[in-house]
Amino acid sequence: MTRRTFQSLVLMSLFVYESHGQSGVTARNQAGDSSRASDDSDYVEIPPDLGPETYFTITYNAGTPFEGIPDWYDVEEGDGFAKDFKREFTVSFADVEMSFPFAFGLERKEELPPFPSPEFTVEEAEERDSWLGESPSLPYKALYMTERVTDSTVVSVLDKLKSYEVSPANGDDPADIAYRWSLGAVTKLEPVAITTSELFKLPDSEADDDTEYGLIVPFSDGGDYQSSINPESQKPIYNPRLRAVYLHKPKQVKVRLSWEPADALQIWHTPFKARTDGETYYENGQISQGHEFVYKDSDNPIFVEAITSQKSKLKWGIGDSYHAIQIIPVDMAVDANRDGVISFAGEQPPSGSGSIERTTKDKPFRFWVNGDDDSENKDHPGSGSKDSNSNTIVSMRDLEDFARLHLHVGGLHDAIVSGTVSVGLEWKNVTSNAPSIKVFAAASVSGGNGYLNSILDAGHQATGAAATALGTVTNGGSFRFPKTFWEADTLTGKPALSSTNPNRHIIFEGVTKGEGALVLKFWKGTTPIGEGPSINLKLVDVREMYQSSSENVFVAPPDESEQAVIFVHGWNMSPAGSRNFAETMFKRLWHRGFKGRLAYFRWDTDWSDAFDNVPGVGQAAEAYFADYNKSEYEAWVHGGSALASFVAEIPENYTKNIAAHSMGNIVVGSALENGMTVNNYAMMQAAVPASSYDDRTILEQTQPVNHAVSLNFWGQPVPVGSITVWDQSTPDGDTDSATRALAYRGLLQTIAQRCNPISFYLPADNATSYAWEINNGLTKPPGEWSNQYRYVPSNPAGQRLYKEYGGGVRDYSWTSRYESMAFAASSWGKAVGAEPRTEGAIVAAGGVNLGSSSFQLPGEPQNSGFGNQHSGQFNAPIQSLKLFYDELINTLEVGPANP
Amino acid sequence: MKRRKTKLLAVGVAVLFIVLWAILHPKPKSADQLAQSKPSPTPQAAAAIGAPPLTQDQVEKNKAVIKQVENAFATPIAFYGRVIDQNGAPVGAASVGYAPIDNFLASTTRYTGVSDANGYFSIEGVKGVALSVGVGKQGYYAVDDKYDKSPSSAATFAYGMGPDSYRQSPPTKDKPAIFVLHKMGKTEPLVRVEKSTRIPKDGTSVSVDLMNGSLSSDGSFRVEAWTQAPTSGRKFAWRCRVSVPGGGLIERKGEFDFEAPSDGYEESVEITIPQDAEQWTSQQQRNYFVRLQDNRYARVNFRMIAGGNHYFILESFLNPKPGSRNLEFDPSKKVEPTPPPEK
Repeated sequence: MTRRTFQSLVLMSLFVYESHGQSGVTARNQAGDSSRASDDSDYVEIPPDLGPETYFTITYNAGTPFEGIPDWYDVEEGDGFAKDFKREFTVSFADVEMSFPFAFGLERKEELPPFPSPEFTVEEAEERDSWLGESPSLPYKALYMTERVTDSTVVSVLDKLKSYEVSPANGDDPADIAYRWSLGAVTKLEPVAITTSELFKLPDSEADDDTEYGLIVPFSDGGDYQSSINPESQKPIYNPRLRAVYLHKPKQVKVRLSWEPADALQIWHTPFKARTDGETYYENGQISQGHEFVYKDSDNPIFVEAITSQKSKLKWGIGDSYHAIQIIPVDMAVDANRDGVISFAGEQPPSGSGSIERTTKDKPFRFWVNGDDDSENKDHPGSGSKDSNSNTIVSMRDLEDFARLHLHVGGLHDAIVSGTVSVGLEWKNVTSNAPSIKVFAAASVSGGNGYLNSILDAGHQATGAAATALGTVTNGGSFRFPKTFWEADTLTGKPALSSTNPNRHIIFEGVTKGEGALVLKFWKGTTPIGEGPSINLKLVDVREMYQSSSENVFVAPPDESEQAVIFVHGWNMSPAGSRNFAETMFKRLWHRGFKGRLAYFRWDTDWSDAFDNVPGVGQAAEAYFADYNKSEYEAWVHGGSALASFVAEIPENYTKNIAAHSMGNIVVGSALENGMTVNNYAMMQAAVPASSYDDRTILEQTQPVNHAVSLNFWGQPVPVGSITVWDQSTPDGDTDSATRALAYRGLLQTIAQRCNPISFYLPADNATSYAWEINNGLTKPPGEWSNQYRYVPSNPAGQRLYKEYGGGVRDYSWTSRYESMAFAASSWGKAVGAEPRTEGAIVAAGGVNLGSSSFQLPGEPQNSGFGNQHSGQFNAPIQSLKLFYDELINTLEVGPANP
Repeated sequence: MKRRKTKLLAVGVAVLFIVLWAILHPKPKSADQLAQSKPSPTPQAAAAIGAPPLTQDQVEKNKAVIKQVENAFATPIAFYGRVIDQNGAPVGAASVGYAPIDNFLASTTRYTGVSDANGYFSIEGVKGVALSVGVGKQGYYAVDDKYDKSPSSAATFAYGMGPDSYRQSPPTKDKPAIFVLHKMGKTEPLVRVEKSTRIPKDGTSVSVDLMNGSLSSDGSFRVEAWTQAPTSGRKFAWRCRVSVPGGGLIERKGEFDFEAPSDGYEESVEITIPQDAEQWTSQQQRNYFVRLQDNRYARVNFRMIAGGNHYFILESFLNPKPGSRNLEFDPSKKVEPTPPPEK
């Protein structure tokens, strides 16, 4: 915070007046009475019976003696622009030792907007450099001299009413535009003045006997009162959480500073000193309770630091006499350190977390704009609709695009609840684009993250009043919380804002990209009365937050931890669909506290939107059979090498962990088989034969069922409804080594040397249990859809797997083992994703059973976990997936996850 | 004469019809015959590896396969089940969920039901290639499927597809499928703590206070870990020690074991994983009963993750009453953790 200039001082009417000897001030009231001050005390009190209308003798420049209340000086029609209303006052000082304060007041007969604030200047017949001058927005101005004045002096007050033309055309009645000068002495003399730009008069409900004015101070974050030094000006850039106040006092008057409660505040002072070696520095010091100021350079502020969260009093006084202002601590916080717990600046960080919640310009809180479509609790990749366009939370799923923001208000509770004081948010120091956020009241009374982890809490947030936005905070705009935000809510149990409940919680979504500081502001009516702290926010497109193999918009955050999770999608995913899965995984890991890099790898799978339209069984099966094996071939042949290249681009010092889904595990298997090395490998619902990793015979499915095929009258086969997929020999069990060399079994048995694979399996999985097994059984020989591929176990060794074309041509050659696996060699057992018993290269003990009741998803049969859902971790709402993503984080060893 | 000619004509027409039919509608081939026919690859596969396109015969065959699949997914399902508890007593009013696999690779239909007073339930008139069933009831724990076809709270049954190591044969009305729920016992107000925290690799201890999850030097549950860098390959030697100073731990084996034993505790337990361990992993999970120094008991699920970020996770349920060994938890009776004393 730069030093507050005097241009916006709010002056407390607190002055000290001192005299010595027979000196004094002659004051004459309108009746002509006068009084002479005594010289025996430290200060002189103007007798109260003189009243506030006591004026000093002044002489009007026109020679017109001016005493008492002057008449209004009317403005003539046509007067206006740069009209100088110059008045001169002669102030007589009779050897006044110390500064004598007097105030010029400018009263306006009528408030006529846009009546500009007059610009005061003071000129003096003799130049003195001891004037303090100011142009506050308030109708008076205080001037005082800090040196001894022993003679009379003529003071001119030049009032320039600029930019205003008196004209009936403006609706002005010259008779109304009248003003008068008054010169008043302060009757109630108080020791010293504390000035600051942000003092405001407390509403009646908040003022007390001691305090009439208040100051809003951000809650301390325990940082240095001095943040840094501006390299150009060499002036300090103060911690924005401190508030500077200027202590004005005569030089030899001792003024004592104190505060209560004793632990509420910390006060600092900073005399500016130059070291002998010419380098400047700022000596700082903590001011202790009761410290007496004797010498105080009022050009340099003292700093108020709010330590505790409740309001307090800052007092200054001489002897038993004191004046006080109310200090109101406020704060605003996001989960800047992403530990799942939001701590206000002054709170100790949760035990063990070790880091304070703090955003800076260099390390803003980065969050994504809510630019997707989560309507009906589903993601709709490629939809042109944006959730942030809606004024309501569109679904429980939409909540994963929200972050939390907590507010703390240590005082002004009655005034805020009544609406006398309003609180809001504004952007400042916007450095890029025009950021905006939409804010919603948090349904949770505690402001916790239940909206992300609990179906019940999410339901409360996504329905009812909490689902409707309180408003949007746009750049250049001003948002104020409605009065109801601070009131009690009997439905949710939220109490009204009070000293025992000083916190409020919101959730917000990003609406437009941009970067800047979000500031907490306070108004009384339309008048700003103070600012709380700011939070540095950076709103970005979510694609900038994770790395992608197919586009280059990723921007690594400065505090990214050295861990990468590489996501590999499955079969039949459009580019938009697979990117959507990656983004979903990124968001869910992000919310669980993952601070590393999510890297999304796109491979060239076939895809069709036929499945999106829920076709009939026949259509779906046909599309599957037509494409699946070819895509698997592509995954083996090209996907693996491309993945390995992508992984090699991750910074070398990062741990590299793979999370692959469905056929994405073929891609990974290919890469591993060809030498890629990673740390941990989560095989999610893997569509790879278990026999590839584990060659034990126990995995062979040997439960044939008679495949009854009857003929109808026309001789057409009419199946009785039973598909048998395990009733045939497969190359996995062949005794011929040449045949086994073309089969799945054992291919990936040794990959444990290059990774730590853990299977996330689901035996009831719709895709890996049914579609995969049917494809395995029917599209590979001797299945009836096996086309030109043949497997004849009774053939001579080396001739059991082959291709047969027209004219009896047989081809025993294969482009690769990959070709035979993809098209000809069926597996003798289940896919890894459906087989709970897989061991071999896969760490069985670490396998994750997605059919466990712990992973229960909504809508699935009781206690069946993911049920039949092949892609539940992407399609189900985040609230039912905390345990899954925690398990993923722990499997990949990139935790610990947030509480 | 005329009548005889008519008969001959009719027979001739019939023979002609039969012959024509035999020519136009050949009998289906056996599997070997199918294997010997002349197929062509799918258009896409053909493009991949240069094979000729499908013959018409293969196209027709493929259509038959599709029909077969359609029929399999349309297999009528009639299912009969019964819910019992761990002691064999019937569980009435249990919620039942049914998920027939009636759609190929797309979301399937869901049905619900409830068991009668004797635990029986059934569903008829649905269809699918298989049926997944799950049961549940408030006051009962789920018994997760161990995939060995022993009774559990959820299972899958084969209809349009044959049974295998996971899919069970369909039950009948006379012999319904048995499902098990584990009835809750007497629960206690317990303090539940969940804590994840990093731990140094040099044996510096980290202690957790099981009353509130805070980390403190005198916490009741102490963990130390020693983890070496790999000397070759990816694997590394590591070990960790969990201890309860002044108290002890004993491994908890049964999923539904909620009563802490009265003796058999050891003050500390070590987990040692050498680099060349046969089933080497970088993580280990253990469940313990814990007796604290002040004779309070807890059960702790502990997981050490020695790879990556090197941290441990624990979930504990502590009975705040000294001497009470009942550690069965009811979330509605959860005792709020006691905040650590201010320093």
